[in-house]
Amino acid sequence: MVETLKQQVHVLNPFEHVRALCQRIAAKVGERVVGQEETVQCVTAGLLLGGHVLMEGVPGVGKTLLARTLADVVHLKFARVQFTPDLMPSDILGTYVVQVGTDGRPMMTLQKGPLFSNVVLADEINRASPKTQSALLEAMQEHQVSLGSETYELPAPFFVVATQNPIDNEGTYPLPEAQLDRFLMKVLVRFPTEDEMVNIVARTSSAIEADVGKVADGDAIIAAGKTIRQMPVADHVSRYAVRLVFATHPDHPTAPACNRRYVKAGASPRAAQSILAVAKFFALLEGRLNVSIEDVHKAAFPCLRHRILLNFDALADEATTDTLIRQTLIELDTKDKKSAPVQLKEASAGKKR
Amino acid sequence: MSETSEQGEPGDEPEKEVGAERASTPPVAVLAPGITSALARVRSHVHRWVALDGLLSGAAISGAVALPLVVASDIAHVSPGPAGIVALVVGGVSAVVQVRRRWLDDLHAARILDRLVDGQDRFASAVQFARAEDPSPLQRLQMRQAAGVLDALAKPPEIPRPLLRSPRWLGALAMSAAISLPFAMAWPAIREAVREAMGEEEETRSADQIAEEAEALRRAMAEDPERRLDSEINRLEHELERAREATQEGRAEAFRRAAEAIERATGRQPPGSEDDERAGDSGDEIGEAPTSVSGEPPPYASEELREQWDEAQEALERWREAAQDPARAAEAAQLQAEAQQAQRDALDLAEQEHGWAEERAERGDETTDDTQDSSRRDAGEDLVDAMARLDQDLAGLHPTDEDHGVPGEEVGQGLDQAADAVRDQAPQTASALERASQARAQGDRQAMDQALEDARQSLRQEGGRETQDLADARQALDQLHDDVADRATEDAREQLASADRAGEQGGDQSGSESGSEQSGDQSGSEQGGDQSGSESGSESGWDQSGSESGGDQSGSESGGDQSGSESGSQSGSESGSESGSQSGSQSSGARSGSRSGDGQGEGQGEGQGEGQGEGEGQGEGEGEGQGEGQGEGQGEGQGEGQGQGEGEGQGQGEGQGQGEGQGQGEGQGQGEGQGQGEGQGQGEGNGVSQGGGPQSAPSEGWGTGAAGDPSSAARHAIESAQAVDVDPGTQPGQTSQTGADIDPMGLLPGGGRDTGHMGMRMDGISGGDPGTGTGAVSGSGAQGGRVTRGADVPGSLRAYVRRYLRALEQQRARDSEPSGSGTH
Repeated sequence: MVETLKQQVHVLNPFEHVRALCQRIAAKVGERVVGQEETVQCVTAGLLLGGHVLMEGVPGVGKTLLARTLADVVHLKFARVQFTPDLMPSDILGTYVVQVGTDGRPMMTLQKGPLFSNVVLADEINRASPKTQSALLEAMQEHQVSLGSETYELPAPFFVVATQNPIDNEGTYPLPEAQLDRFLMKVLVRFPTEDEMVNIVARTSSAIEADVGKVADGDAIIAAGKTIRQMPVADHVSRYAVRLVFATHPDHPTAPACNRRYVKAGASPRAAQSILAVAKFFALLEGRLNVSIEDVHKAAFPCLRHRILLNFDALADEATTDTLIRQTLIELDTKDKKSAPVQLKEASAGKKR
Repeated sequence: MSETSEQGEPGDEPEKEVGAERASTPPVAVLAPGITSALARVRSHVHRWVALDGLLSGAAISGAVALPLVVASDIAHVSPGPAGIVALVVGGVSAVVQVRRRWLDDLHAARILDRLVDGQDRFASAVQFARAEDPSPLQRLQMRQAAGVLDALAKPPEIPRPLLRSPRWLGALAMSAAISLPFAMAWPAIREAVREAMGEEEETRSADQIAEEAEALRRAMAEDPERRLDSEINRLEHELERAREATQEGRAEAFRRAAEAIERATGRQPPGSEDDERAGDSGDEIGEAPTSVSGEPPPYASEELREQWDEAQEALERWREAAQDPARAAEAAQLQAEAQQAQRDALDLAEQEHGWAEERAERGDETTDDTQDSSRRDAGEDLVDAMARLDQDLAGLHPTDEDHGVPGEEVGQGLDQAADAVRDQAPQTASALERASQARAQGDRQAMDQALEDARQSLRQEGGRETQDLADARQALDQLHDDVADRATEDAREQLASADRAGEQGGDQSGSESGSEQSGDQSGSEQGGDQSGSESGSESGWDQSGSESGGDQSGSESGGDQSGSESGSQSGSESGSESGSQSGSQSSGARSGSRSGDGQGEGQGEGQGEGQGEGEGQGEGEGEGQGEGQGEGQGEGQGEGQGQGEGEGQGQGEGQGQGEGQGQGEGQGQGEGQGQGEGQGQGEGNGVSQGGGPQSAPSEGWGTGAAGDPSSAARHAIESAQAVDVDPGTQPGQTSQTGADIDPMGLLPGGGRDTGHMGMRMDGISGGDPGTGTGAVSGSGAQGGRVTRGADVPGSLRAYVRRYLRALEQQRARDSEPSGSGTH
């Protein structure tokens, strides 16, 4: 009996370990960043899953602080790039410079840019020119940088946290869809509540800045990411995620009416991968070894909101991707409910999803 | 850093441990027993409801399908068995499909379980992982975790019942019933309306079916004596008439085909063209009515007129011969009178037929426009025409002075074709025609002539013979009529007995008061004037015979202080008889009155009527209309009637009566009745009226009814202390005509309300203010309609008329006795 329990404990260890790691990261980040629990969870998920996160929020809500704190917590090399219109690709990738070699002769050597870091904060990424934005494409997807005839691997883990301001759009360059798709999630950093604001003020008014300890290194992050991705997913959950992605396509038969009307282009297959990966992370945070439909619901918003391209009607009617995603989820659930062989009487059906 | 070191190599650790678990963990059950049992519990619970729901749904679907199918089967007159089978099959298949589609598997049961315990898809995932051939260690771990969650529950979850789908099918069943049943009930009316809109004839049922339904009605009436059968009897009567007409038409068509075959064989011109030409010319040749019988009879003269014409000429000739012989002076005077009478009769008839000819000429276009009515009206005439045509063609085959030989081969073929044509309708005639053809083939002219003569005789016998089916149906309907009449008589007798008892009790209270009002003014007698005429006509087909003689129209009315009686008779000499009586009596204590009328008008038709009422609410009425019928209608009376009269007499009455009558009237007469009355009664009548007067059309009507409530009439009469409206008979005679619309308010067929135009009033009982009224019944033979050849009288009416006449004679016999007079 004892042996059996021991085996179970051993088996539970990897997931419990990752779960504990995530809790520690969140706790450490929370020591410096007030509130924004969901944002912290998403950013942590992006870090562990090897994805990149685009944070959108008004200035001053702690986007940069969150990214910097995360880098501090996991003991990774951090670089911050303030994107401006005159920022050139070489400014972030690096460039070849002439240096005097050991033999005294001049030689071209690579001066690596800030992209050669584990955690890169691309602050106000939409202010850079498309040329510079595109310089991130290869780095974000392939984790490598091509300069001249040489290709340089980026350090692992490589995690880009980009921020953008949703209201000050003058002089900005919206990110192209190809680059948006390379972000695992787009997280909306909400404005803090009153209590959170009081706490923020109290912390920042003192001269002492909170010192966050490091709870993990790069290898732990990579191992945790692998563990999370090993979590099994039931077939009906996977199909639900896939049907959700299909439903975002306006020309798909299963698309609800709102998507047919307001969506110009639906989410890519990469969205389904992202949803399931993030859903696994959420299931793990709750201590489950299975992904539920509810996890998919939770992951759908950050994983889909930047992958759905709205048309002019949506802009005219002030329809947002979040409302469309919410309506799509409702439609999917309704269809599932109707297609179920048996529908229980709602009055006494217990808890409803 | 220390924390970093604590984590060590987190990436490798899970893999090692998972591998160790795979190696060390013994094979586990695919699903934990707890999950399995929980799923089984969910499934069994849901399946019970699903099975019950499926059964209910199947039954509801079967019903929803069966109802319209059965209604459709009923409309199509096919057996509802296949419809029921189809409905059962559909319902059964639907139930099976529904149960099968809702049958839960483990995955759906697990999802239900997840929902019940908020399992976050743990059990559904576990079931799916368990389906894998070789679940991974992580999947096994997840299954164990799910089992742990279920074990941690304090009590098993309560499983709600699934939503039932049978209510929607029950709703469909209700909707199907809501559509089908009213549609089934309204179908006869819809069909009738559509037929009327499309101008189609109603379906003619066979005489067998009519007889069967009549028997069924008799049985139904025996089981439920209170049941009203008026509409059913009316419908059967009409259907029988239609069946009779259909038979006539079929027979006429057969005879026409036979005649055409003979005409083709003999090369004779079909009479239709000649008739048309003659009819076209007749309008121009009608001219004035003849004033003497010296020349040829007019072209429109009927056979009867021609006979009378010839008789008049012969009488004139005899008188002339006698006048030339002085020795026969005395005889000459008598012959002169006879000749003048014969001439007068012939000229009268010629004048009448002259009027008919003019009317026919005027109505020529109208009849062609209204083909349906004319076809119905002329069904009997067509048959007679066809018979006459065939008879004429057969007569034309007899040898003439120029030709004594046997006719040619084509005549034999024509005879054979004619025999084939009439074989179904007139087998004896067909046989005789075949014999004639064979005789012609053998060259035996004498045998052929004899066979042709036999054929003509058989034609006359078979042409108008009623088929056995129709006779049976007629007999069944007669029995039904008799049963209805017996029942009504019995009811009336019982109510009279009860009313008598009521009258005895209230008699002393208002006798003197009303007695003064019912003075001698309300008694009198009236003798019909010289409203006589003679009319002769022939009536053939369908055993319609009768006699009617123009004669006096007399009415008598007598009454003492408190009683009065009125009677009138009218008779005619033409086929058919018409008679009517109207009687009413009212008594309230010392006051009583009776009124009866019996009229025989010179006219054509047959009818009878009787009315009787008592002021204290004892009423019995039986009436019959007379007059020349116009229009067609049927009625059954029940309710409250009110009439007003015109003329010198005034009377008001109110009473209630019960009446039952059957009658048939045809002809034209004159009658007058005045009075004001308000009555309530229920009547039963049966009448047919058909006439040929100007602007007239046949009318038919039957009605049955039961007695009304006599107590209210008695009460009203006592309270108002009003006497019986007794007509002194001071009004001059007026023409009585049967209206086109039979009054459905208790008046018997042939009776109308409009004084002077609608014939005899049937308000036999009146209890209003005392006043004068007329009871004149008169008739005019000159204005009477002629009985056409197509007229027919239902046997039940004749039987009823005969019974009534016998009863009337017995009544007269009793009245003629000293103790027999009195209140009727």
